[in-house]
Amino acid sequence: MDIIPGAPIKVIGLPFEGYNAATLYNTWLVMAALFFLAWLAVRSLSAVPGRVQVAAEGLTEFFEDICNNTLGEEHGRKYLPFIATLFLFVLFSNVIGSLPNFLRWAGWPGFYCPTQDLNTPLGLALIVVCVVHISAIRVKGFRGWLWSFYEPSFPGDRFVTKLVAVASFSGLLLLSYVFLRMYILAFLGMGWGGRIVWGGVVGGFFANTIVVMAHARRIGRVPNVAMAPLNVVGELGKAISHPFRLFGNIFGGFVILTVVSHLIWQIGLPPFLNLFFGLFIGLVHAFVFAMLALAYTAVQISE
Amino acid sequence: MTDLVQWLATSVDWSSLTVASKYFAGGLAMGLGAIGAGVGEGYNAGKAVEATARQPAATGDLVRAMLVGQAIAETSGIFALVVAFMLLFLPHQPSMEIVGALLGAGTAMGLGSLGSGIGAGMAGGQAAASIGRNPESRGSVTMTMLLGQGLTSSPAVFSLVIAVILVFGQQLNKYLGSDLAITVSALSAGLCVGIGAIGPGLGTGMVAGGACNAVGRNPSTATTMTRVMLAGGAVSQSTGIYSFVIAFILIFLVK
Repeated sequence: MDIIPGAPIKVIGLPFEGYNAATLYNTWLVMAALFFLAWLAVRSLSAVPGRVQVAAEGLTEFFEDICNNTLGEEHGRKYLPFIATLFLFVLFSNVIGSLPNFLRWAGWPGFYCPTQDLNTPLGLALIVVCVVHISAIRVKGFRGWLWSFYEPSFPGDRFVTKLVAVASFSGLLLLSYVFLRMYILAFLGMGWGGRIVWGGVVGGFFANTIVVMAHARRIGRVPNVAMAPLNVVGELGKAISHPFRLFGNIFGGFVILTVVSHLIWQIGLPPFLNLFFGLFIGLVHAFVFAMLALAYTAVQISE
Repeated sequence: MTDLVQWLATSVDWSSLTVASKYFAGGLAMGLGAIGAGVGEGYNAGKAVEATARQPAATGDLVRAMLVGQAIAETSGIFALVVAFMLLFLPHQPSMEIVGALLGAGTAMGLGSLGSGIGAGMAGGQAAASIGRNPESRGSVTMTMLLGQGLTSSPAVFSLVIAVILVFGQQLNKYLGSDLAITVSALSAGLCVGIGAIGPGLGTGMVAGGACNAVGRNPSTATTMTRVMLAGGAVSQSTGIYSFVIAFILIFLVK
């Protein structure tokens, strides 16, 4: 049984450098297959569509409907390529491991789901996080994006808003006074890297408070300071659970397939296990991955 | 304390205790892990049967929705099976810390899949009931159910992460001594994320079930409902994320 993929292959020998051959080759294979299918679908477009064109159009319309329903007409079309590509890439990555593995020679590691290597889902989820937050900043503006961490906010007149601003500023100042001596000693004791990081953190807190309070006075609402850490933790939790859900399911299916096939000497059962874990679970979780990306985008860009 | 540690390190047969604990933890993971998925899938099927009695014409849709919902509700049980296989079949080096880590991994995955399994079953069951009440809404209800169950499985995913880290913990050098603090911290990291996942899993399942119900009553609000469901589910999950963070601190910061 070979449950754990081999160590990464290193080219130069730097830390964190290197690649996993099985993941890399299969990712290239998935990309080539997607390119080929896309070329096949648009090769001869006609008003009376052929079989491939019908399938491609059906898929596109399915995702266009979902995107338009979730994001609205004005944003839906913009996010359709991203969401549909995410779905297709994850789907092909999930089912490629179900292909028969009889051609295993000369360094070719065999068919292997790229998504069962944690790095692939982590990279995809990183893309999703960047897309979600950058589009939130583009749609709502930087201040609006920052403000969304202080939701649900309360309505309040200028006096209450000013009161909260004064209170939170004096709280920050009090904290920095209490920790001032400790902070200065630690600051002087650390190297330039640490000074830049911690200076950035503390400066960021002050800048954040100034921006949010100015925005609060402009729109006449009181920010919900208590919700800010909860919202930040919630975003982190989304970013953690999104890749690990995909990884856990695909890797779990692979482990079960490997162990059960080994226990019954590859007789009889493996095709049906592949059908369930490879095709069915792979399809469902590719869809769930793409739909969660869409829903996270919708939560951030529509207020 | 030093005497105790010395006695533990010298007089206890850690190699046989490691083997014993890996079998015990494997049984614990799958035994506890079967509870949630079993109850959840049964609830799902029960609601689907009631809905079939109410709306026999929609039997095909109902069976399809039930099978998809049950397959996703089984995710947490599959996680438990994977961790159990890893505990049983991977080689483990004998040491006191490994005993703690293996027991922690089994507890984490076993308890962690409880809430998520029941919660995902609740979402699937409410979706089946909604389709039975209003077969026209099956598209939006199924979509809401898939998203809700994906959300519900997060606490089980957190438990899986901690359990896999603990199973492979032998590769971290710090696990190859004999230190009581590291042993107990590995065990309590498993307990922390395992017990901490029960409530959030159940709560998120209630959120997802409510959303499926609401979408079935009024399919035109599906988009808004999904958004509210994701926001509410994220808040109800935050306690599970706290225990995940604490488990991480217990594993990586205790020296």
